[in-house]
Amino acid sequence: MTQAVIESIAVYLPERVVGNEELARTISRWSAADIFQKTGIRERRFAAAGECSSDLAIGAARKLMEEGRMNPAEIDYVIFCTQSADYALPASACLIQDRLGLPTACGASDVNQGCSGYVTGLSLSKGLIVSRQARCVLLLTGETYSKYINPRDAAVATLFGDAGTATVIRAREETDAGIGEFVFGTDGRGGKNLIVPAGGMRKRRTPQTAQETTDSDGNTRSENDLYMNGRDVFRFAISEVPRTYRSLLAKTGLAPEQLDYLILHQANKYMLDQLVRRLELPKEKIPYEFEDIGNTVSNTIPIVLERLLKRDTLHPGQQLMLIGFGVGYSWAACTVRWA
Amino acid sequence: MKLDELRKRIAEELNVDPACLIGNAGPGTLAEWDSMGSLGIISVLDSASRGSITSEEAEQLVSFDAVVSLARKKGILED
Repeated sequence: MTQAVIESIAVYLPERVVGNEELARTISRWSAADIFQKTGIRERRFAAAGECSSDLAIGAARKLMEEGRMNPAEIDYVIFCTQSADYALPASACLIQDRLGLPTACGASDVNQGCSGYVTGLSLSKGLIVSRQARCVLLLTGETYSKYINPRDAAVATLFGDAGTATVIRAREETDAGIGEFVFGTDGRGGKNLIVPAGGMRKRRTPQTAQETTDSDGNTRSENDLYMNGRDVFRFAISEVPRTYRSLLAKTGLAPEQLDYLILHQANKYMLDQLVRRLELPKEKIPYEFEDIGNTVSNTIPIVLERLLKRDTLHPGQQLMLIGFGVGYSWAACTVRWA
Repeated sequence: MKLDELRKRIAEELNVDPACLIGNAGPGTLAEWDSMGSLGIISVLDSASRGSITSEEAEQLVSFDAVVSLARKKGILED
């Protein structure tokens, strides 16, 4: 039976480091120490002015190529998960195909998904592979939320960072390793709680949408900027993530103690602390990787995986559960037995 | 749980003296009841109600009276 196996992962971070001291100069009511205390984040990376999400993903893919961990000629399909695509059209994945020198015989699609995007991408990759439509998939994530954020909106300016990742997923026979079962969820009632209101077809950008207002919490933004109702996003996450975790355990028949790692979307420290309290696992099985990069949206889970690999703490045979959750509201969880 | 237990748990989340949590105490009267404090309150109620706090209910938590009212509605508070 064909399995879809995660073969290699690389991460690319933009050069510009934005520390809490810099943010505190704009968000006058919070000091750098306040920002760290509230978020657990000390610094994050912002893409340069002319640097797009595809550039970040390509940066990660090129690392794989330079290190001999990806042969472009073998890629049958490239999936690019982003919510800050280079253009409304064409799909950035098509442009990436050209820039990476992937075969013209390969398929290419953008997936407009955020915090659940990597797990969603794994499901699509697995589907292509086990249905024999592809043997080798390049799953890319790339995000430049910094370009949506008003620096005077503390609710979001302190949390998000930019990054790109590249993952090669390959068909493998006669193995019990690979991407396992999935649980998905969607609740579009939450769409309004994490949104860039203007700029799509529903509401085009105008001088009016660029008008800034300040809310009762002192956060300033326009309709062209990212808006987040942090309270409701939090309520959603602490309710749905434990349910999803239990649901996937039940679906797979796994017991909590059989998990070596539970890798959650790295939203922020407070969210993760609250989730850890609700889940039945020792804290050491739930990695925290955001202090130096912030919430990088669909990049967070592959970044955790890459860091575990670099530290030599993720080994073949280990059992993982990955849970992405957030914008949409959308959530997705899967099990992975590491190859 | 009893009212005193609810008050104690919320006081712990807000890092305030439980005696502060009376009546109309809320974001306007307690500096600690800020956006982060609100999350702590939601967390207490979510835990106690096993995840049944809706978006609309969370929006209404603007005073300790409102918190108590929701806790009663959810069957969290013992009479």
